[in-house]
Amino acid sequence: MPEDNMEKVLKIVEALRAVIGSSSDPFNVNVKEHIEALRRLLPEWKELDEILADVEAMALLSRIVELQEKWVRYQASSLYVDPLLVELKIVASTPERLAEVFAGSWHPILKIEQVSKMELMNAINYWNRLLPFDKRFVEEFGQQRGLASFDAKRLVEMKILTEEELNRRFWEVYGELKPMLDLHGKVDYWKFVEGKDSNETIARAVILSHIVSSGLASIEVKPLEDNIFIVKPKLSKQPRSVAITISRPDRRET
Amino acid sequence: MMSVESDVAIKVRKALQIMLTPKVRNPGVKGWELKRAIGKDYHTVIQALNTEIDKLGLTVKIVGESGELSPQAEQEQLDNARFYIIFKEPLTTREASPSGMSIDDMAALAITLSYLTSKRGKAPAKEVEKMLKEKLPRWKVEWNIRRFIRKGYILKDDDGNLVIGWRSLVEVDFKSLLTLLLATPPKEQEPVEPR
Repeated sequence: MPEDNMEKVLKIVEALRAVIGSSSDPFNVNVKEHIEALRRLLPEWKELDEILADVEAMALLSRIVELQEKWVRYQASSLYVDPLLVELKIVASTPERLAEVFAGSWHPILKIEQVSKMELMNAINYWNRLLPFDKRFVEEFGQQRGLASFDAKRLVEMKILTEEELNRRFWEVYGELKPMLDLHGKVDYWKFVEGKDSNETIARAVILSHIVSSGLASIEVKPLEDNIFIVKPKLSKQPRSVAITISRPDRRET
Repeated sequence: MMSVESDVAIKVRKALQIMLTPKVRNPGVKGWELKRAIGKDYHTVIQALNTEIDKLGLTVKIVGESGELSPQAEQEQLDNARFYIIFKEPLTTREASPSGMSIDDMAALAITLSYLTSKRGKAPAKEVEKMLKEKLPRWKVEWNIRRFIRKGYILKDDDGNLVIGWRSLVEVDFKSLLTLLLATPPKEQEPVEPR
């Protein structure tokens, strides 16, 4: 089938879908004209896709006819009212009047909202069977684990690093850090350790801790500003330990 | 041996209990649930119940897939329909206020439902929002639509249209709604302040 014929069918399908999907008048669709068009194109259909497009167009046209029938029924019913008139009345009415209109046609459902004896017994049984909160999810998620710490040995065991690589990476990371410290005096900790993935971030953080332990750099924590900086080594100060937690390796969290 | 009258009276009480007991999701009870609880002749029991609660200003409303049904409808239709007890007479705004709906909320519901009814029960959400913004602040429009959807007064379909929901079909008399709206006198002109 030539491309333009297929396009014609697809346009019909699209137009019919638009009418079905909205609340517009189904009589805007000229069903006879569309059927004629489909009938003229029918002998040219050869591929399965073309036949399926034709079937879809016919199915949508039958849906339009169904909507037209409903439309006629609705217009003949006592509920039919010109939408424009409704809009005008809404615009012209005060909220108080509109509330009266609703209340005047509202018949609320009656229901009881009271705990019965049976519900109370169910609740007591449920409560008595309920495990304490700390034991409740052990079966599904196992024992809750605390924060773990990494050292170089652990990273080697985890195969994130090998011992030879650790030495190589140490000087590689230091080679990256030193010019930055020489230039700026301090470097944002999180920007520096951030790697391309979680393993890389952990590895960089551990290597940096070795650099700091070796006295080649120092850490400056600004708790009020929630900042951590890597700075040049401060030999005069008493060395102290700084714990930096990486909860989500790809996201800073102290 | 139990008399027919006392048997019916027990069944009527049982039907009332089942219909009023809180449900996990929506209120009301399915016909087949009533059948299981009070027997095949449940529609006769429901008619007896209706006579009893009528004295209290209440009535049983049966809603099937095609809308409201009478207790004399076909057995299969009744089995699949949902049975509710509703107020027979509508309320005034003052009486309706303790239900948790403010004047603005009721006005918003009147606008939404009358607009949807005039559009054969379905209209794009954007059109309804535009109508609501005529009377309510923007934040309240979105808040109200979410609330009406949650309560079942309206539904939102996959194409972004708002559709009249199950609760409106049960609680709202659409004919009265439109009649009252169309009978609204034009708003009195507000006096213009001299400059």
